Amino acid sequence: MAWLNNYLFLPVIILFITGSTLALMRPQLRSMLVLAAQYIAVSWLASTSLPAAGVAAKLVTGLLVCVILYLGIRQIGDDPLQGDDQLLSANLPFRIIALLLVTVASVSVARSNLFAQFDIRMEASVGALFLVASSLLNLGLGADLLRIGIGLLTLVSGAELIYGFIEPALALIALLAMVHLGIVLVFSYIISIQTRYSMSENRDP
Amino acid sequence: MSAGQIIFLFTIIYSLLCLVLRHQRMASAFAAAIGAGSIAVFVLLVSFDEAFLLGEISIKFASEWIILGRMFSLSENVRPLIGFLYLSGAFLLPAAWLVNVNRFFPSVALLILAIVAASLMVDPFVFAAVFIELAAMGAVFVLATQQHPRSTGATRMLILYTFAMVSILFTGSLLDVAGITSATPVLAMRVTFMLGFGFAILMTVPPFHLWLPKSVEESDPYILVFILVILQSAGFFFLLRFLDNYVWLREQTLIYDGIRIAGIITTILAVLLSASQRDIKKLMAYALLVDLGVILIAIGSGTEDALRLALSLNAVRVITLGVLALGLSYLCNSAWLVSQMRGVGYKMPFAAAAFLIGLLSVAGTPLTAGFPVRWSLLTEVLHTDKLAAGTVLFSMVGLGMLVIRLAAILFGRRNDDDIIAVSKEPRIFLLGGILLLLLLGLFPQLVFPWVEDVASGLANLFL
Repeated sequence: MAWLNNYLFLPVIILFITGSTLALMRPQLRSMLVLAAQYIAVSWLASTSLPAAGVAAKLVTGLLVCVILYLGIRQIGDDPLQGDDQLLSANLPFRIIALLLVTVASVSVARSNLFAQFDIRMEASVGALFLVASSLLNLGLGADLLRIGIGLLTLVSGAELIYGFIEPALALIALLAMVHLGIVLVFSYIISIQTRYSMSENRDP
Repeated sequence: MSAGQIIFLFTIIYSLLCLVLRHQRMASAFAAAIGAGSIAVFVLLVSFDEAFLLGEISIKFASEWIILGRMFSLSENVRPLIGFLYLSGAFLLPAAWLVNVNRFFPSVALLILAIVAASLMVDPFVFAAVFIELAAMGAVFVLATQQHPRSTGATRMLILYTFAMVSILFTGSLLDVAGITSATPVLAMRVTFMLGFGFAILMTVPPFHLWLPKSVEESDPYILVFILVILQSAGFFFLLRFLDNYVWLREQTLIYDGIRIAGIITTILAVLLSASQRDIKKLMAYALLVDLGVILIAIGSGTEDALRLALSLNAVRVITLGVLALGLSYLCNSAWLVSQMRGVGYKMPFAAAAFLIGLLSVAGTPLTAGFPVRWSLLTEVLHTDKLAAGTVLFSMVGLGMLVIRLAAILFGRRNDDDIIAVSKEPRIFLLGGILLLLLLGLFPQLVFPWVEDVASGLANLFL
């Protein structure tokens, strides 16, 4: 698997594409595919710091998160997301400008010596900081629960990418995997009760 | 078998029992309280790493438990902290059946207690940040329910706790890996900032308190108090352990000054905001912040005595806030706006009295549980920081006046009789809570043994 390390620019490009897509798209079921691609890219970058078992655990957790979120939203019969035909978010020009700004900021921070104490590869640093920046964008601009959930998952992914270089312990990988699964369960739960609540409100005049 | 395994095994057993009993709300709440109480007794009284005889059987519980190469240790310095958390659960859970909570609450509450206990047991202790995040996730499940489906406050809390987790994990690593001392000022400043950010979130210091008024609006006050007491205690204990473990941090006067200033701002802001609230539930949320602000002033004073007072305040607040929230839970059944609550005290005298005496205790009025500790803090900080002393006094006077105003409204004249009266069982709980608050006001030394136990565990902080 060492040959993968020769193409580390690829997961960084994938992260830029997926992060931008998640920030610009309206959150919907298709977003889960983009999120899955993001988890694959994160696992690829994490392979530079973690043992193979840790990378596999991260990948499986990420894909599981996407499946749970997908099933959670699909199970809701009258899902408000399903009726949403628009692909792109509102205020698109503003979001594009904000995305460009956070991209430039994350690349320049990665090029500075912020993580000089830790031996972190440049590709991982750029990818992680972009993930954190795009997650802040999602959290800051989104009132939608699914967008907030995706934002939090992205934030944790970015942080653990850097943290993998500092503390590549299996226990921490397991704990952070629990955090990912916890976030997805919490948001599936909240979305489900909110949908039921809005359905019952619609029924009661 | 290790003590950690016993705690988690029994937590799961009791949690499942509560799940089975979920349709019998009283049985479920009492099962959870008995579970929490029995685990607290086990943690505080049983000796570990030594064989003892139970009848004819020799039993030995190991204090350490290793999972995936990481140790969960029930060492002497965390035993009183974990015991306190479970005792808090045992005190707060029995009344859960009286208020409007989800039937899964006792079950989830026990799991939250176990996760917070794990945060205190894990080694390296920096990993506690992840466990506190997991506990916050559990809290979302009890804050947002079918009865209370709105979840803005719970979502805000989860977002903030995630930021805190990331921030504290990085700070811990910087402290361990980069070897920060007073000779590395740039790194030291970065760590101080990140640490302050993380703990400000965990302790709900403004402006990171924004989830609190929203949550109290969206859920039952009693549930919120349970969550707040457990999560803030976890954050507080985590902070004490940080200070105990890192000499460099302990020696930074900047950190103590920062905590004290945060406490002063929090207290003043919260007193003013609570006085200006029209919604009685939000008023309670800001009263909780006043209490937190005073604790921060005590921590920020930095002396051993002041830290002991902070621990005492943390112990007393479980009872104070529990009684306050239980009373409020009933008062809220009639109206939310203070202006609409005229005369409610005549129909629900016990609930109104519990709410007012709870608030008086938060204010630190004589004869209530909050007074002795606040008075001691006032005398402690009077000579070192006049502004802090003035703030403590301001909180006592400000909240005291608020109680007088609320009492005048709650026991004001009212003609209509359409308010729901409280039944017999809640009256017993409310009266018991009021008596306990008065008892602790007369005998404050009841919490001293616990404070001394904690202090002896944090040997670097309490020399």
